[in-house]
Amino acid sequence: MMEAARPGSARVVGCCALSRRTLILSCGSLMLVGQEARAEPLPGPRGQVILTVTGAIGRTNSSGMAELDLAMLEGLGLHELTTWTPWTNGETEFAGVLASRLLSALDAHGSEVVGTALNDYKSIIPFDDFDSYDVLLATRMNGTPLRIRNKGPIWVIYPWSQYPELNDEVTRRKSVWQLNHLHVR
Amino acid sequence: MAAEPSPRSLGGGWRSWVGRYGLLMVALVLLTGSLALSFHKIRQQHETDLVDVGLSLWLTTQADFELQRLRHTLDAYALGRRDIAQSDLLERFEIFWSRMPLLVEGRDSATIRDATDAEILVPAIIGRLQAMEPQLHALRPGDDVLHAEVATSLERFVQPLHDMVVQVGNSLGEEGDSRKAARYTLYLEQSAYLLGIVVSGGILLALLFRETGRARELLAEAKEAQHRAWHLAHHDPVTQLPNRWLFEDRLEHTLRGAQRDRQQVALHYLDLDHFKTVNDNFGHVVGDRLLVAVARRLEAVLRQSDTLARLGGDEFAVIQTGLPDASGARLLGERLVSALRSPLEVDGQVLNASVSIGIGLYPEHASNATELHRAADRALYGTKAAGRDGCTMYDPVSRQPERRQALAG
Repeated sequence: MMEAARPGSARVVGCCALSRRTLILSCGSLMLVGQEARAEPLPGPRGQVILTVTGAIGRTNSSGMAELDLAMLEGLGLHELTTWTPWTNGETEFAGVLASRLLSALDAHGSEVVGTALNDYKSIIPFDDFDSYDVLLATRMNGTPLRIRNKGPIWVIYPWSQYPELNDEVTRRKSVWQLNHLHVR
Repeated sequence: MAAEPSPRSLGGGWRSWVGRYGLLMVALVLLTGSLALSFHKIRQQHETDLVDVGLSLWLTTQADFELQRLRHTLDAYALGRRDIAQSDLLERFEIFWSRMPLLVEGRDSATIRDATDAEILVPAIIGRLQAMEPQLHALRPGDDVLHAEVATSLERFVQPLHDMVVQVGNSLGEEGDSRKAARYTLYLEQSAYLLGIVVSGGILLALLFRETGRARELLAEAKEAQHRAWHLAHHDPVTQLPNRWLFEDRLEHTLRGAQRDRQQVALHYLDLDHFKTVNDNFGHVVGDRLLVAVARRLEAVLRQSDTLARLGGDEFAVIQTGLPDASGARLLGERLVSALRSPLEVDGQVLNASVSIGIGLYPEHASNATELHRAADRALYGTKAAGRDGCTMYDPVSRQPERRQALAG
C-alpha cells in the first residue's frame, strides 16, 4: 500500500511505513533531546519528511527549518482524539501529536502558524487555539497512518465532539488537511 | 379535616399519596424531560442552522479543479516534461481521490447530497480510480497507448463533476426538501418541549399554592387545638370560669404585682348557701344550670380587672385589685351578696339562692397567698356562723387566738 520512499523530498506520495524499530529509535532520541538544552540541533529525519516547519523556531535540523518524518512527529507523544468532523460520517478515532507539543519541542515563538497543504491551500491558526483546545496534528485515523487520499499525511483536527462551539466556518477553514508545512510567526 | 392523624384504610392512604406526591412527580419528570430535550434540540438547531451551501460549493469546485490539475499533470508527465516526476502525478491522483469522499460524507456534504446525484456518482468514480491506480504506476513518459487510456477514463469524470458544481450553485439559497422537513419537525418538537415546560411549571406552581394553603390551615388548626386544650385544662367545664389551678396562678401573679406596686388585693371566698338542697331536690342538671346562672350574676357585678373563679362544688372566689382601702372590698362583697338576693329562673323554675362571703386583704391580713386564703376562709366561717347570706371582713384581732392556735397545730 505504500509508495517507494524518496528521502530528502518534501513532497511525499502516500505515507511512509517505518519499521517499529526505527520508530522507537527516533522517538527515543527526540525525547532525549527534547529534555536537553534547547539550542541543541534537532536530529535529522530518517524516513520521508512529511512536515517542514519554518519561521520563529529555536531548533532546526536543516537550514532554518525543521524537517520531520512520521516517526519523529509521533515520537513526541501520540495523542488520541475521538470526534466527529464536518467531513466524515459518525465519530472517528484520530491519533497524532498535539500542535502545542510540537511547537514547544521546536522552541517556537510567535502568535500564529500558517499551515500550508499539498495543494497550496493556506490557513492561519492562532496559538490561542492550541491553549484553548487539544488541537491535533493527526497522522492516524482508526489506527492507520493517513494517506493523501484520506487527507494525510497530516490533518489538523479540532475536538468538535468535546466543544460544540467549534462547529463554525472559521474552525473549518483552520482544519487543514494534507498539511505539509507550518510557518511560525 | 383531612389533616387529622386518624388511622386510614390502606386504599385511602394510597390514594392520598398519589394525590399529593404523584402529581408532583409527574410535574418534575415532565419539567426535567422537557428541559433536557429542549436543550438538546436547541443544540441541534444550532448545528442545522449553519449555512453549508457555501461550503458545499467550495467542496464541489475543489473536486472539479483537482480533476483539471490531474489531467494536466498526466498529459505533462506522459509527454515527457522534465519537471514533472511520476511522484508528482501520483500525488495529484491521490489529492483528486481525497476530494471524492468529501462530496458524500459528513454534515458539510448535506447540500451536495440533496442537490446532486453525488451518492451514486462518487462510489462509481472511486471504483474507477482503484482500477486506474496500477495503470498510473505503470505509465512511463512516451507511453501513448496507456496515456490515452487513462486520459479517456479521467475525461469521463469531467462532465458529471462540472454538472455537480452547477447544481450545487443553483441550489444556493434554496433549502433541500429533507432539510426543510427536518427544520419544520425541529420547530414542532421545540414547541412541544416548550409547552411541556410551561405546563409542568404551572402544575408545580399550583402544587406550591395548594401546599402553602394546606400548611396554613394545619397551623391554624393546631393553634386552635392548643388553645382549646389550654382552656379545658384551666377552666371549669360547667360555668366556663377559671378553675382552681388557674385561680391560684392568677392570685400568685396578682400578689406579686401588688407587692411591686404597693397595691391592696382583696380575696373573696364565696359559698353558695344550701346548694346541696337544690341538687337533691331538682337534680344535678338543674344544679349545674343554677351554678351557671349564679356565675353570670356574679360576673355582672365585677369589673373587667377582677377575677371570678369556681374552686369546686358550691365554692367560688374573687380576686379584687386596685383597692384604695378596705371599704372597697366590703362594698364589693355586699354587692355580690345582694346580686343573688333576687330570685333566679332556671329551667322555668324560680329558685332563691344566697351566698356567704368571707374577705381577706393583702397585705393587711396576709403576706402571701396561703395566708390570704386562710384569712378569707376564717372570715367566711364567721359569715356562716352568723347565719349566712352576708359578708364578713377578716378581723385579725378577734381571730388572733384562733389563728395562733391554728398555726401552733
